[in-house]
Parts: sequence; C-alpha cells; structure tokens
Amino acid sequence: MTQPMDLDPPPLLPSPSPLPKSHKSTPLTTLTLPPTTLSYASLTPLSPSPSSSPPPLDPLLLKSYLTSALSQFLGQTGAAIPIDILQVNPSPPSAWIRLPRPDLAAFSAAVASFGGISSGKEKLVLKVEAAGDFLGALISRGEGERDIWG
Amino acid sequence: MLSFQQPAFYQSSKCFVTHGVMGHVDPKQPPSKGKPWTAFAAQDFVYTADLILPQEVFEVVQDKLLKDEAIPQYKRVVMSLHDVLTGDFFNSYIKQGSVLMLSEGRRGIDNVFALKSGHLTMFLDKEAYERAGLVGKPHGVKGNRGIKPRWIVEIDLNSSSMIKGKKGYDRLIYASKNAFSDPMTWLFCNMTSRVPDPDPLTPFNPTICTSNPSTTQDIDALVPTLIPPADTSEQTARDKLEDFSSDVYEWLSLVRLQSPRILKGDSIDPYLSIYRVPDGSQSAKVCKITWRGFLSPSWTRQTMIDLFTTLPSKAWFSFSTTTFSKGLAADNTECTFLRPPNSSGEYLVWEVKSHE
Repeated sequence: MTQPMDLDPPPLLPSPSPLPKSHKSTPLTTLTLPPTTLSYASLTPLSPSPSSSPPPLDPLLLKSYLTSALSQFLGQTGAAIPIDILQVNPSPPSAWIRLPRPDLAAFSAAVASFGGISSGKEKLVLKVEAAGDFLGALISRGEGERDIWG
Repeated sequence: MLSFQQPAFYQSSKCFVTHGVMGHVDPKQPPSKGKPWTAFAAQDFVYTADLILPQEVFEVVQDKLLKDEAIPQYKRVVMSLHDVLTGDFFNSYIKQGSVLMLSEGRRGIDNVFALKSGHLTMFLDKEAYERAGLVGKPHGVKGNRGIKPRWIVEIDLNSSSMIKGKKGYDRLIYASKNAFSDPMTWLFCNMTSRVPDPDPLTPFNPTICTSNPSTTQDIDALVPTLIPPADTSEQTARDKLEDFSSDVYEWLSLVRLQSPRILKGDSIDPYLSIYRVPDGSQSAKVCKITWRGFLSPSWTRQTMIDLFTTLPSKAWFSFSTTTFSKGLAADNTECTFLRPPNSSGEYLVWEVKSHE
C-alpha cells in the first residue's frame, strides 16, 4: 500500500523587495561585460619632416585613406570592413573610429603597412595611436600624457 | 573571417559593471566602504577626470568645483631616488606626510618608481634589479618572461625599520646610490594641505602645475534614457542591463570625446558612420568639465562627495577617472560612475581594467 509522498510545498518565488535604505551601499547586480562586438581605435598623422604639413583631416579624406589602406592590404574584403567615423579633429589632427572587434587586427596591420596618400607636396601617413574594446579608457592616451612630463 | 592574430600591442581589457544603491552621503563622515568609493580608491595615479552634467545644474557646480582654491595642483621636479629617500624630504614628506610621486617612464620598458602614502614600488628590469640587490618578486605575465624577466620591489617606508641605521633602510640607500643614482623627472602631489616650512622641495626647483578644468558647455546632445532597466525576471533583467550598460557607456565616452555623433543635428552620411544613439533619446543640453594632470584618488573622492552634496538629488551626472598608462600596451584603468536621474541612491559603476 503506497502512501502519498510527503512533499514540501514548492517555495514561493521571492517578490521584488523594495530598495534597501541604509548608509552602506548595496550592490544589486554585478556583471562582467561579455567580449564586445565593436572595438575603437584612434589615428594620428605621422609628420615625416617638420617643414611639411599634412593636409587637413576631414571625414571624407579619412574614409578614402582607410579604404585605400585596407584594399591595398586585403583587397575587397578589407575595403568592406564597416568603419564608423566617430570624430575627426582637423587640428591637432586626430581621428577616432569604430569597427568590428574581429577586424581590429587586420585593420591595424593595414594601417601600419600603408605608405600614405600624397596630394602634391603634402603627404599624409596615419598611425594607430590607441586601440581597445572600451572607448572610455582610450580617450586620454597619447600626446597629452607625454606633455605632462615636460 | 580573416584569420589574424590579435596584434601584440592590443590586449583585451575587461569591464566590470556594478548596479547598486547608495546610502546617504554625509560630508562630515566621508564614506570609504562600498562600491563606488572602493573602485575610485583602487586607482593609483589619476591622469584625467571628466564630469558630464545636464546644463541646468552647471552654475551650481561652478561655484563649488571651479573656483580657484578647489583646482588641484601638482609639481614636477627633477630628483634622484637618493634625494627622495634622505634628508628633510624623506622626514617631512614621506615619514610624516602623505604624498604621491611617480617617476617618468613606461612600466614594462623603463625603470619606474611609484610612491603612494609611504609605499614605494619599483618596476625594474633585470640589470637594475641585480645591481640594486633588493628583494622583489617577478613582474609580468607568467610564461611570457623570457630570458630577461622584470621585477617589482615593494617597500613600506612607513614601517619603523625604515630609519637611518637600520639594515633595511641602509640597504635601500646603498641601492639608490649605486643602481639608481641618475636624477629622474618626478610628478609630485601632496595629498594633505599641510606644507612643511621650510619646504624641502624648494632646493630642487619644482615646476608648479595646475590642472585647470576645461569646460565645454551647451552641448546640444541627444541624451538616452539613463535609467537602468528594472525587470522582475532575472535572466532578461541581466541581459537588458548588459545592453543598457554597453550603450550608455559608449554614449558617455562619445560625450567625453566631444564626438559630433551624439549631437542633435548630426546627419552624417551612413557611408561614413552608422552610429546611432540608443532608442528613446531626447534632446537636452549637457556640459562637460575635464581635469588633466597628476590627480590623487583622495581628490576624486572629495570631488564625488562635493557633487553629491551640491547637486540636486534629481539631477543625473557622470564622473569618470582614468589612470596613467602602464605597461607595454599602455593600458590604463578607468572608472566611470553614473547617477541616473530621479533615482534615490541608485548608481552604476563601470570599471575597465587591463589584464595586468
């Protein structure tokens, strides 16, 4: 003769409690952001000689520079890498872009191996100043930190 | 797709997000425990601090944070390690005071010395370590040290064994005379307001530098809803929080960069950029204040406390600090804090740390 099993009733799901008010701070959730889909990079011109000044940077010039660099290195696949231009500063010249994370390695190799574009006497060669997954941490890198040492 | 190794200079960093609730901030009892405060205190030397606020509350902050007395100062001086560890400088600043000092150089490449509240850390290469004859531990990723390992030596100058005549101190002085006798450029920041008289730094002709805040006002931006999602179901709440924190972090970084992509009238061709602000963004004016220099974590803590006490509790603000670059890949640690609008103590903290 089987007895019905004496099961405990299922526990009630906890109802969302009101935010605790205390003097200590209580973390509600902590999480680590998963590997990002997008990476960021900062580009600055290399000045080959003090007398020559590179042509002023603007979004279209930057886009054509990057397209030439990528297609020279990687052909059509390279030129098809989707790059978002986030900011272009004409002076001091610098540019910030956003691109898919898996393509960052190929992108930096392409920019590093590209000889630059020249319009008449002026030649523009860019280098990657900083690259990483999180834009906030990259912003202050570069020239400013070298200046602080005098 | 394209099978490329990640380039050597690019190391992936991690971002830790904390969403929590803070208690009331009492300026007479400065808080030091708990999440936003420990995150800021864990940074060693701060290079940049950015503050983003709605334009409406700018005047309130201007009186408190931008007046002349509140501007942080630091000094740049050329001294040798021996000068730092001996004489009046050692007694008044290191033994009795609380200072921050950092020597010029890139950790991982050059020999760098860092001093924080009496705790001296030396980042040395193999030759310098052997010449110094001090005890240290290996520095660098295990397995990547190769034939020329690097070393870290950590010495607590506050301890009672660090006075003239004792063995540990004498050994350190010997090392500073033999291995590190060249003068270096240091950045110096006095964390207390007490300056000893006469100032032991004066013989070294320090250059006094101020980190004047630069303000950018009336940025016509599209501001996303800065309120973290609240959902009862645990899994979707976590996913939504992940998406929310990535999007808002990107938006805050673009404001700090002064990128035109977050401006109201930005109509850049999609050929050049397909960035869009997160859904539900409203037009509003924001302003940004930036400090650059050699800042101490105690200054960031005090600034945060001032922000909590001066700003109206319904206003949102975001405060981020970035440290000096360290290591071969010039990584730095960054800590961003956001207080959402109309929240009662809710906050969000992003900590970006490199692998080192």
